[in-house]
Amino acid sequence: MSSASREARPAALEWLRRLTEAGAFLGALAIGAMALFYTAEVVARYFLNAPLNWSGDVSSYLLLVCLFLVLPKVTMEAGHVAVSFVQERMGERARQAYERVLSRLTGLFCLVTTYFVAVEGLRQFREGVLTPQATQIPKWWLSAIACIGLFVAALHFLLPGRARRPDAGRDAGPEP
Amino acid sequence: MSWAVTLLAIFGILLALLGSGLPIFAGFLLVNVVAAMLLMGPPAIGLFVNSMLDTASTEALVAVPLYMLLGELLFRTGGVEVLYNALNRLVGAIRGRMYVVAIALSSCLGAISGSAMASVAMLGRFVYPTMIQRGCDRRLSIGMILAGATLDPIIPPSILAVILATLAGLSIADFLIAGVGPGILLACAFAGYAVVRTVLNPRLDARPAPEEGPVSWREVLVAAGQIVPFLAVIFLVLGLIMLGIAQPTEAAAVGIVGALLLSLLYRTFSLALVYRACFGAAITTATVLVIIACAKLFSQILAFTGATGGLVEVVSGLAVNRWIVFAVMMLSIWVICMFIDELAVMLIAVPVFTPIIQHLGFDPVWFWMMFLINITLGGITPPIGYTNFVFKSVAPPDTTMGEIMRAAWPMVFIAMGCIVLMCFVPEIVTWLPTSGKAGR
Repeated sequence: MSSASREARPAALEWLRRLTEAGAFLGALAIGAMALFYTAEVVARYFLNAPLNWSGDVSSYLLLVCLFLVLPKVTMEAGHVAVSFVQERMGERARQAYERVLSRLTGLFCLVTTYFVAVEGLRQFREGVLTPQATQIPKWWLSAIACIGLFVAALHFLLPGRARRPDAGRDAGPEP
Repeated sequence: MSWAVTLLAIFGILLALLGSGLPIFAGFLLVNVVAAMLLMGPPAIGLFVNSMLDTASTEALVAVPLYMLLGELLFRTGGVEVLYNALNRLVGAIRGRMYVVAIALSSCLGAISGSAMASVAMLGRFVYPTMIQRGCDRRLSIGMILAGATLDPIIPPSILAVILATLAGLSIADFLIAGVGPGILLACAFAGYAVVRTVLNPRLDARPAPEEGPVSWREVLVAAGQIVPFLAVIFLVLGLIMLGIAQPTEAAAVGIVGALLLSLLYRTFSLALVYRACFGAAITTATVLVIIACAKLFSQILAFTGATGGLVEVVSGLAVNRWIVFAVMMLSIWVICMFIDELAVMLIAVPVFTPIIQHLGFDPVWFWMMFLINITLGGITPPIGYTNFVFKSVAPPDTTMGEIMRAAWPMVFIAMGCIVLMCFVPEIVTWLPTSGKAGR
């Protein structure tokens, strides 16, 4: 590996980390927006007798946005739920090697899924497929967000621990 | 290949993948994609992708992040400490006081977190050392904390209940409210057990703290006043659902506004607190929903293989009482839950059990509540029990796994007794949702 590519690699990983943090930030905003829209719906429906009607649909889209934009952060922080009895009975080195294999495999599944979502998203784009909700949007918008989230998560699985900040913690997000 | 062989193969591979330590969402992802491709060919790709996207944008599931946000806000306002101190005063000088306080606190935390593991981690870290310091019996203290944790997914608002209701096609409002009766029953049974044990053997009880004198009426009123705002938020959410004034998602939004007002009252409000609560809710939402989004196709695959219909045929052909089928279903889930995460068990069991309970004529709200209690119970059942390991990880280092396991057994038997009671008196579960419906 040339020295230029060695230097480029940490920079690329730093970008991956920043992208992940930005996704998590947007995901957190999406949750706040959902709460805000539903509160507005309650006020409009029960106090002004003029229901908004779009809050549920928009919130359901935001749910997808939150899921797929925060997914890379969960992956970066190794926060996925797994049954870890096998690893717990292994020695330290064997456990690390085994977890690397599991991580690479999961990364591979995520990459394949990204490809599937991209193929389906392209079909939706070509055929002008809309979402089934009352407040319709092009469905490929959702596929595109899912694609981004799955792809970045796949990168984290394939490059385990490399983009992770030493002080990263699940409970503490970046300050707004 | 008959449906039974296909079903066994799918279950065997799925359980092996989950047991291997692969993230649960990846296990479902692999099984669903491969099974769908084998059964349906290339069109399965579109089916899988759309199943994932549609699940991730299901309006009913918006309740999950909103209740998580509500819980995060209530935790971060500092209300839990106020709650503990107030409950400590309110319970008063009775036998087994510290044990009762632990259960009462768990019940309140159940209304906030809805996660047995989150609750056991918090109680194990903060309440257990105090109990030991005060001379409480170690085993009974551990048992109470584990028992208290099992209340969390049952007492509304519970995230697991929202997810289970969505998966099983139940009214979220009915299912949330159905948790009130069993939650109270279990809490009373656990607390009653501790009181009886300490009455029979006073050495098990805590030493009175030097600062604790008799509690005056004024102190009781102050303590009650301190928890009123906290409980008001919870009862506001539940009341809106029970009276049919608002949908569970709308009630959660109102609860969030209430929690923000509470943070103003406790003087802990800041934009950073709100952001951190949103961030925490977003992380948990993504962790949980990615599993559901990847697993949703599983039920369609089971139906496509003919397994769902085949199972119903087999059950209808059995010349046994429906309660025996019920017992077999509950026992199998109880055993699986000792090894596998509750959410994964739900996703596997719901498509298999739904047609069977329809055929057997069980009330779906009652059945799925029994199921919910059972899977939570699996989490504390020795020799494995996920929740027990969480307790071990947060308890003082001298706490052994054997001690935790021995402490868990009486609680498992008490909860089983309550399940049997709810089989004989199903109204404990169904009365509130039914009367709530009548009132709506």
